[in-house]
Formats: sequence, structure tokens, C-alpha cells
Amino acid sequence: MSAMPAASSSSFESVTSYLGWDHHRIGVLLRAADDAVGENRFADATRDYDRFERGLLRHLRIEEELLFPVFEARSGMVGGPTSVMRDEHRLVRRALGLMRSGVDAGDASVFRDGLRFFQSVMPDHNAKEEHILYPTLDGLLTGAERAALVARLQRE
Amino acid sequence: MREPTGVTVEPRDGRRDREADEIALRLARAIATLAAGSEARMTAPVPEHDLDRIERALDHPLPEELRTMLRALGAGLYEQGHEVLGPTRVMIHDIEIVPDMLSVRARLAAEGGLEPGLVPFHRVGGRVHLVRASGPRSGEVVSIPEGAIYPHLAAFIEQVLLAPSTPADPTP
Repeated sequence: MSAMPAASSSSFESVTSYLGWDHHRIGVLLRAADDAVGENRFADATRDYDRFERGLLRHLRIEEELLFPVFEARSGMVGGPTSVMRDEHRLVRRALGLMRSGVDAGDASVFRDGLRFFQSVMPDHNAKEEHILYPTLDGLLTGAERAALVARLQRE
Repeated sequence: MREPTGVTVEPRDGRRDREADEIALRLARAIATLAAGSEARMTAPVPEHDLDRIERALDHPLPEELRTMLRALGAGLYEQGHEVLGPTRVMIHDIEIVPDMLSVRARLAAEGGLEPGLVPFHRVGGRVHLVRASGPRSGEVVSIPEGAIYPHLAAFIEQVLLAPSTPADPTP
């Protein structure tokens, strides 16, 4: 299992660096849950999955509630990239539901079905955010606005 | 009674005794200390009509201590990342800096962790503090996740908002 990436409250100077770090952190949590499922340690899997799911749902929520509205307002693109991201978030939530039912039932095959579904969406989704959406938003904000938004994301 | 900030604090209804006066005095002092804070902050005093509006939305009155604090100092972002929630979001241009108390209350209710009569008014480090707005323990401050209980807002401000704190961990 990869080590949890270290961070401090002053580590992040941009949306790209903070949310990219959060993607990595969430990925580490998922791998821990996956490892536990693979070894039939379902008590550990439940604990690790809870942390992963809580972290990912928070990540999706702060993007939808805090980030996308600012991106839309600043870029003028309301039905474009954020609309695609929201659609993909819906797929991610469906995948989470499947993985959750596998973990709760102690059924590794259901969990793996959900994980495959998740992995069919998430890597590309994260790449689009990290390489296009976040850097674009960073470029649309002044330094002070960027600092305020990054601090706000971290407090949520 | 009148304190140096110009904040007038009336004792709570039916409790015009020495204890109520003492709590009111502590609250006024705590507000005065917060008002004199040296670090930059982003807060906006809450007008009376916004307090009335939120009481209508909640369908019960806010504790008088909370009204006093929101009127005097306002909702917003305080030192060390303390967020005081008010009737409206605090924004810089189109960026939300601090959410409003009704949004936070709706989220807590959706997550199934909210007793009726509790009003969220403060967040820091992933913990939400709520004031009890009704019942025999009205004015008490509790938290989600469960933690310390403060008998009244003055004690909360003294021990949390005015306490020396460590930087918040960015890991939720």
C-alpha cells in the first residue's frame, strides 16, 4: 500500500495542487480497502472503505458546490466541462453504491464489479480535472482569490 | 449592561438573576476580546432583519446570545480558520468563503445527525458546533462529531474561539 501523502495547511498554492493531492489521497484509501477485500479481511475493508467513500463524496461535493460554480462564472462555460464532470460524478456515485453493497455483504465479486465500473470512469475523469479544469480555473483567479478558494476547500 | 464594544447584552428571559448577569457579562467581554483581535478576518455584522428571517426559516427563535454575537461581530471567517455561520453566505466576488447556517443545517439533517432545535453556528477542523435553541438546556453548545459541551455561548467563545489553537489538519 502506498503511504498517505503528507500535507500541511500551507502546502497548497493552487486548486490544481490541492485537489490533485486529494485525488492521490483518495486513491491510497481505495487501495487499502481493495487489499483488505482481496485478503477477505472484511472488517478492515469496511473501515477502509468508509474512509475512502467519505473522502471521495466530500471531494465530489466541494467540486460541485464550490468549484464548478466559480469555473462557470469565470469562464462563461456553463454547459461544457462542468456538465461533463457532473455527469461523470453520477457514474462515480453509482460505482460507489456497488462497491458499498459488496463490502457490506462481504461479497468480493460484487465489490470487484463496482471497482471495475469505478476504474472505467475515474482515471480519465481525474486526468481531465488535473490537466484541464483545475489549471484553467487557477488561471482565471487572482492570487488572492486562488488562496481564498484553496483555503476554503481545505476547511470544508 | 453596556460593555466597551458598545454591545448591549440583556439577560435571558426569566433569568434576571446574578448567574444570568454574569454570563451576559462574560459574553460581552468575550465579544470585546474577539473584536479587538489583531489578525485579519472576513466578517460582516448581521442586520436585524436577517436574524428575523432565519428565525422564520428555522421556525423558532435563535438564542439571544447568538443574536448578540452575530449582530455585534457578524458571521464570517475568524482567526485560525474558525468559521462563524450566519444567515447568508460570506463571499469574495463569486467565491464562497463561509457557508450559511441553513445550508450546513440541511446537510447535517440529510446525513441524519441533527437533533431538532439545534442550530449550527460554527465550524473548525471538520467539527461543527451547534447551539440548542429550545428546551431546558437552551443556549448550550454541542458539537458534531460529539465532543465537549459548553453551558453557554460565552464559555464556548472563551474556550474555543479565543483559545490558542493549532493549525487545522487539511486531511478530512
